[in-house]
Amino acid sequence: MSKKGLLIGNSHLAAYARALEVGAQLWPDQSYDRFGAYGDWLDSFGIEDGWLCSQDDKANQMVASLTGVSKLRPDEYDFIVLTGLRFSIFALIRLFKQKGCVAMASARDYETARANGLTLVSEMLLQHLAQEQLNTSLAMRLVRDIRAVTDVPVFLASQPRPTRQVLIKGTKFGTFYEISRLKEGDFISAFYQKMAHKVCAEAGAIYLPQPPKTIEDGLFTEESYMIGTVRPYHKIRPGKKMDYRHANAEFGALMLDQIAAHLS
Amino acid sequence: MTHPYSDLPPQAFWKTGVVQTDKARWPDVFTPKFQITPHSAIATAGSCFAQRIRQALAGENIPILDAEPTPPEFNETLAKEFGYGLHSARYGNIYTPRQLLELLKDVADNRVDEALFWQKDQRFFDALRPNVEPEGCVSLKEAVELRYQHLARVKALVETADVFVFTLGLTEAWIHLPTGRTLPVAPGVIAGEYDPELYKFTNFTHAQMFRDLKAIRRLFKRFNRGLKLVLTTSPVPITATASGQHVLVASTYTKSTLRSVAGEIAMKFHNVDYFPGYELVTTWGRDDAAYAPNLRTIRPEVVAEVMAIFLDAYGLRQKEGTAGAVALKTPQARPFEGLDEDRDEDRDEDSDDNDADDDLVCEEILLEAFQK
Repeated sequence: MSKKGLLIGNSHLAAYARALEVGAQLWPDQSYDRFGAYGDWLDSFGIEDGWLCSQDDKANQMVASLTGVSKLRPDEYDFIVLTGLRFSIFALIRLFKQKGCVAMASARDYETARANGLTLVSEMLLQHLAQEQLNTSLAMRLVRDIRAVTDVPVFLASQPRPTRQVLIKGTKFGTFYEISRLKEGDFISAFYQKMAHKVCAEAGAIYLPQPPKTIEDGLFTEESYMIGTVRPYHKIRPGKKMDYRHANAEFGALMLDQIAAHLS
Repeated sequence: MTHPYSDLPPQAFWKTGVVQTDKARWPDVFTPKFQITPHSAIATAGSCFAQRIRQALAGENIPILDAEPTPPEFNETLAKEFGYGLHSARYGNIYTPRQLLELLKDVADNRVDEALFWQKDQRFFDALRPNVEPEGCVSLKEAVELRYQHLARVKALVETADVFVFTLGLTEAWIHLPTGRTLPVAPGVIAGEYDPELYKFTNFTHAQMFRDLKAIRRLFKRFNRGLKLVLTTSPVPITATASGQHVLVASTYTKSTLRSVAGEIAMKFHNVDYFPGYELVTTWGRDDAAYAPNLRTIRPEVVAEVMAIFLDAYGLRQKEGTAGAVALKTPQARPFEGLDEDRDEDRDEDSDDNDADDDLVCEEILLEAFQK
């Protein structure tokens, strides 16, 4: 019997939605409803009398225009998937701005760290900061809200890493540039995965990592998974020719495969 | 007929200096030997009470140096837990002159001794500042390298500072026998394990501390010829004593000896001054109680009064008001250029009568938790 799932997210929902549109038959044991809106419009949503809803009319309007409904009951679903909503490697990257720990080759000792312009901090401190960054994301807030009203599996699907398009020195992605220059992408990727699993497990959710074959040098998504993206507001509206942070249906399909594997 | 006392000012007489004086402002109780200006680069270190001095200076936007500034991602609680923003570097509380002297020698020699790291549950703690990594380091290497960084930052601190404010807190300490080093906290309180073969109790004498403070002054001079030292004595009684004496007797020895040695050093050297915060808190001439009901914690308004006197003596208060008006804010510390471009400038603290010490990090208080 098919399990009924609920997909919650922001613009990153589009990769899943598109994958389901073109290949729903690939996951015959799951069906999905969608609930989401651009950016942080879900920020005003919370649980009230078992309903996931908002008192913000504009937010309700944004969600309804995309999904047809402005509120729903999480306990009516067999499983729930959240994606995007500020839970990503982006949240952790800033922790490594001019900082490193001795487990990183570029900060393996004080002199090396100094030569690379890094301040040494302890790994435990980085872990605390990472947990705080991830725990305060909109995704984790919604996970905790939803967990309070249902015992069904709750998955938090990784937002894709950006493409190498962010590697332009002097932009707001300067830390990506620096980390890449120091060849610390693999370390930070592993650190992110470890912390994401931990934070999700503590909240009673299952973290779904980005599929390894879509990752390049730890920090980046292989470009082919970012070509032909679709943005969610109008389902037919294409994203940029190559979007640096939103994935396409192929990526969405790989994530849906992971969910199916967990549920089987 | 004249005599040596006939032309002395009012503050020289008990009646006019204490009994009849304004006991909020204590006029002329402190005349600084040298200037501290709003542009002076000030470093602070010492016992828990040193954190109060730092807060008061920062409350007036005096540039307090911070050699290891709080990373911007930190919330205030986490920063304190990891020893950020408490003093001018992450050295934790430095209770005795010997601790500061040994730190400065390490800085001078760039020396880290691996024997001075404790292991507990596969985590490693810097025995010389065990509180700054409350969960320990994941490896000895990490702990050692963090200490090398700390030494480099302290070196930059003393090379940069114009004034170093050092608050003396304790005479009692524990010595790690294999290295001869003085610890900030007894082994076993935060980490480590007490072994009488490895650790020895000591209670520093006036003579020992006098030598240590002179040596500190010499080292300061080596790093920075213009660096001036302001000494204070913490008016907070000791939490516990290992001296075998009654704690009241032990505390009186500690505080009076610290006060005495600070005074003697200040009398001897033109670039060392003594601020009498200890006297202002502990005098029986006060109109109100200086201490909270636990008889250790100094009431916030008293701290504020004392710090107002300190600031007024240097002309550092931006707005003249009644004594006690100094806001106890978290320091707006000044990081060194190039060390960290980010800092959290928007932090604030409130004092609360019941939990007046909650914003201080004070390992010594942990001793109370170990009382049977």
